[in-house]
Amino acid sequence: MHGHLGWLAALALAHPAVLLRRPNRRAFGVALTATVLVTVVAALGATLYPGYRATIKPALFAAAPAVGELFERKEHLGVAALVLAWTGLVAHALAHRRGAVQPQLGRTAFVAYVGAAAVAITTACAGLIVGVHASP
Amino acid sequence: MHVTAGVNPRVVRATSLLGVDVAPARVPVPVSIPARARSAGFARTGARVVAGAAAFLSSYALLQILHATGHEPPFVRALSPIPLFARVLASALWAAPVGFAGGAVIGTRPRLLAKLPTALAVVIAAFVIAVVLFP
Repeated sequence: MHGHLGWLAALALAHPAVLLRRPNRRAFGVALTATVLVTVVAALGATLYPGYRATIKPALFAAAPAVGELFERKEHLGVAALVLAWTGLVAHALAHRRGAVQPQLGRTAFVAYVGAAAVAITTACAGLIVGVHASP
Repeated sequence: MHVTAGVNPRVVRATSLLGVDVAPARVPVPVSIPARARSAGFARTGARVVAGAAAFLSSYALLQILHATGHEPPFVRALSPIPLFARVLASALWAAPVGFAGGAVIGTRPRLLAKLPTALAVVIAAFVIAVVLFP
């Protein structure tokens, strides 16, 4: 389920990244939905991670060290996706607060969502590769 | 024009202009100070959040490099038995004050505010490079 939601979140993050290429455009609902989704996935991942470290990680590193390292990279990129999604959401909300548009913050929101989408899609791809190796 | 005694010449000259069609002067739209202050406040808050995120990502990348090379600071290890969570906590503890102070400076300077998207993009790229090279 974590993997499926991860893919959904990665694709959802691409939506505000595309919409916010124009700093004046408002897409708060889309940005909020994507950010909430990636937060749920991150929370689920954080819940699973201690168990993974204890049981799956040693076996994965013994069988395929490169895949184990890929998993570690995936975790770091997931953290970045979460931070960037929230940064983009806050920047976008403040950029359009009370009708006055702040173009710098609008551009920052765009950069944050592009970064979040890029790292989230990379994370999802890495998760897929790890899943193929780690599944019995 | 003949000016008779007892008539103010300035008034006479002014009345001679009454027939001239003068384009209405452009009156600047007044921007109320509270609205401007509010806008600056939003910019400052946004700059704080973005500076905090940039500080978080850069400190996380630095701690990741230190962890991968076996030089992780003891206080980071003390935060959590799981290194990933310890790094997240340490980076958040660092990012909060740095973002607050840095954002206050950046938010009041339009030139720095304009460079914020580029700075964030550079930090994201540096983070990804650090994570890829030092898993």
